[in-house]
Amino acid sequence: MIWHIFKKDFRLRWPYGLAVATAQFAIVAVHLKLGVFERQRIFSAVLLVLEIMMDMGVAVLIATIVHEDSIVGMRQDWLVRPIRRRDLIAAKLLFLLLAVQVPMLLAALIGGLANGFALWLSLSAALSQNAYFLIGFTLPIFAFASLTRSTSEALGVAFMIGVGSIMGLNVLILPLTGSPLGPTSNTGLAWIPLTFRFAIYFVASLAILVLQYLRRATRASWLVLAASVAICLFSALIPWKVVFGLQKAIAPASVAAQSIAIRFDPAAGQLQSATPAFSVRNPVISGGDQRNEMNEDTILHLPLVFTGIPAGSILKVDRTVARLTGPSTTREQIVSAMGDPGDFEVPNDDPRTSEPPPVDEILHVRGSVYTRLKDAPVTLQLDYSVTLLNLSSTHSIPAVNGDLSIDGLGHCETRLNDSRTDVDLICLDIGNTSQCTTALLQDPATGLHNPPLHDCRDDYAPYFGRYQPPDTLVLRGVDFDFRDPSGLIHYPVNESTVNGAHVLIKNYSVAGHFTMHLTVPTIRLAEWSAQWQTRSTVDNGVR
Amino acid sequence: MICIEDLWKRYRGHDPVRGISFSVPEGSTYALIGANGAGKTTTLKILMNILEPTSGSATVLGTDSRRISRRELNRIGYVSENQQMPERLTIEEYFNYLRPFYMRWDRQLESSLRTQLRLPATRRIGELSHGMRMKMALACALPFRPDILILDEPFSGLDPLVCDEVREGVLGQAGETTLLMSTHELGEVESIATHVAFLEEGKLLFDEPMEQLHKRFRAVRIAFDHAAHMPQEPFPDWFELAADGNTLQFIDSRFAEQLSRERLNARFHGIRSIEAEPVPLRTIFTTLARAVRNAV
Repeated sequence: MIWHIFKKDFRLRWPYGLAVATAQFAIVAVHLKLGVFERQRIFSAVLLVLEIMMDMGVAVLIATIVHEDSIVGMRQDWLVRPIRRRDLIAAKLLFLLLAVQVPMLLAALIGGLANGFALWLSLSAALSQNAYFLIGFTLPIFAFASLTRSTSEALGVAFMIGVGSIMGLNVLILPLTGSPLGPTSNTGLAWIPLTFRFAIYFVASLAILVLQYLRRATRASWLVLAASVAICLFSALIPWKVVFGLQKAIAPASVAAQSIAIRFDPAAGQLQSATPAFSVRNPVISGGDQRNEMNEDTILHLPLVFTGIPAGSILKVDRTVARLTGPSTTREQIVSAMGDPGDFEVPNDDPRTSEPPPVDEILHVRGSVYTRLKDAPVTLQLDYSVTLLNLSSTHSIPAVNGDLSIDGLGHCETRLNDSRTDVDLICLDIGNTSQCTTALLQDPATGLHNPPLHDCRDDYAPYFGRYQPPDTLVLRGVDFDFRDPSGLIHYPVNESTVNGAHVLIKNYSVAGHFTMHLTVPTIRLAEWSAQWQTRSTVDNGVR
Repeated sequence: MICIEDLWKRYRGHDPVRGISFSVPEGSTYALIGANGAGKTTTLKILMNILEPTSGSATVLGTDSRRISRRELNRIGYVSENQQMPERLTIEEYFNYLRPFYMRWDRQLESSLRTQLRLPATRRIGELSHGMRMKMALACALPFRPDILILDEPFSGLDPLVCDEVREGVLGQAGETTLLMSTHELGEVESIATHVAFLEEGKLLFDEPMEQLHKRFRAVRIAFDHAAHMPQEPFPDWFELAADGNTLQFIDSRFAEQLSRERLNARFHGIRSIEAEPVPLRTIFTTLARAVRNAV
């Protein structure tokens, strides 16, 4: 009878299902039309609208299909018919698979193939996207809809849960962790709590569907929903240490990590203005701590020296937890109990030196703490969670009108921008992409190059075909300046040599995760602080 | 066929059904009567396992209502005044949908019902009037020749013509089916019910065969030689007493021809004549309902 019930639903809702499926293929078509440089901006807006429409459309389609034979209520005709309830749930699931999941799989697969990606890559990315959507969207919406009588009721309750969750994140989680999504948000470890939440979605959805369809136990189902929302909310509180420990356990152990050391090096010099020095050494700063930008924190600059980093490798600091011990031996914590996002990298990729140059680590100290302790001798304890990235491949592509497929970056193209001040490098990839990439504009004749640009994708998820919603396709780009219109900066590769220049691209992959500890025995904060300021971020054009 | 014992239902802080017990004999036409909110619909929904009882038991075809499965539903027809059918399907499509679920669907009977009830095949269910929906629900409940047909307010809100069509549809095609119907359209069931149960505020006031009920309820009119007075202590089974001139009238709920006359003669003096007329079901219902409410 599953097929029989499915046919009834199909007869009633096929136009809607067709519209949703068409929207999915339309997204693929617009992607193709866009090309890598998104020249026709109008299509970007169309794409965004289509994606929002598709998600909304899928949600409403699921709700309407469920409400065709609503579980909640006492007036539905199907309740008095000899219809096996497991047939009913199977028919609904079949409809959702055929009307939502299969078109999505096909659209993603066709999109990958049409963009020139191999069948296996396209299929794995499409399957990842499909599994992600099924567990993270289709099944939860299916289960949620089964708790309500009508689509309007479902939308109303969903709105209330959404508002409640946002309030919960901001009122409960934000004060405790410094971020509404917890300490792992915007880090490579975010996939662990996300995977945990997906497991909750999956288990809760199955539990609700079984309770609703096989027992019509709506009250118990609401309790399951409430419990799962609460668990997901509080999953943001999973401590960083636990998550990083898990990441360490599942990642390959790195022998090289044992030789890496860190020390505080006062000889590297005090700085009174962080931005220039920091920006030269770490030209890409993204996803800064917005909270600190708003508060009047004092910024400390700690000159650090890292040794033992293998040549050609990058040490990525994922997080720093810093503690100050004042003269009264009372422990003070900097910024938050959960630590500061490290978000800086120490590359050892200069062939002229064996060790990387000193790094100024920026720490944010609350104004009140700083005022109290700035002239007192204090001890600083720093715990680092770090990731070692090894060079995995090097590629070269002409700086102008280059076109090359690169493992880990996908299909890459270069061009001069309209004002002829920089070279744009855009790569379109699918599924797994390189963890970190360093790129620079180089003159092959002289070997001279402009400052390197560096970009890391914060995602250490081990599962194959990683998928960043909403599309399976990942577009990454970098702009290389070679001419300063104001004439203040002169680049080694400039307008006279850019046509013969190449973009040198280095890809890095994760070699291991480990922790490091540093104790700075006695310092005075005032000696290492910049002026009171609102932190500014540097945008050098990396997208 | 149906047996209910000490059935309770607690729902949102009140008890729509309070410990009722009755049984529906095979082949009977059992009318569950009562005012709105008396607990009739709740009782029927418990029987169909749409609602779960709080305590007590309800068995249908020998199966606890909580365990009713496809096998029992193949033998039970259910029609409710507010049954929600797929609005976007046409009548034809809905019959096509329902047919395969039943083990013994009689297509000839379906056809004859659809003709008799004048159901247009191509009309969407959502476009049907209330009366047409009731006829549609009835036509969907009979072709599998159910052993039990449960009707929840089948005549509610129907015009007289549709009422007749529904009644004829039920009686004409139900055959040996046991009928259980809830209603407050007493005129419609009086001629067809063999048994009646009266629910008031969740409690069962009585449950007996219609014939017996008609026998024991009488509108009694006593003519006196002198002016009639209201009795100081009337019998508890007398309702709606009224004295007017030389006559005293009341409804006797325990009337027994010879015994009642002897009792009246012993109680009153100067009786000139005693008339005892049968009482329509509607009068029985309103009399009892008023009595219960006055007592509360």
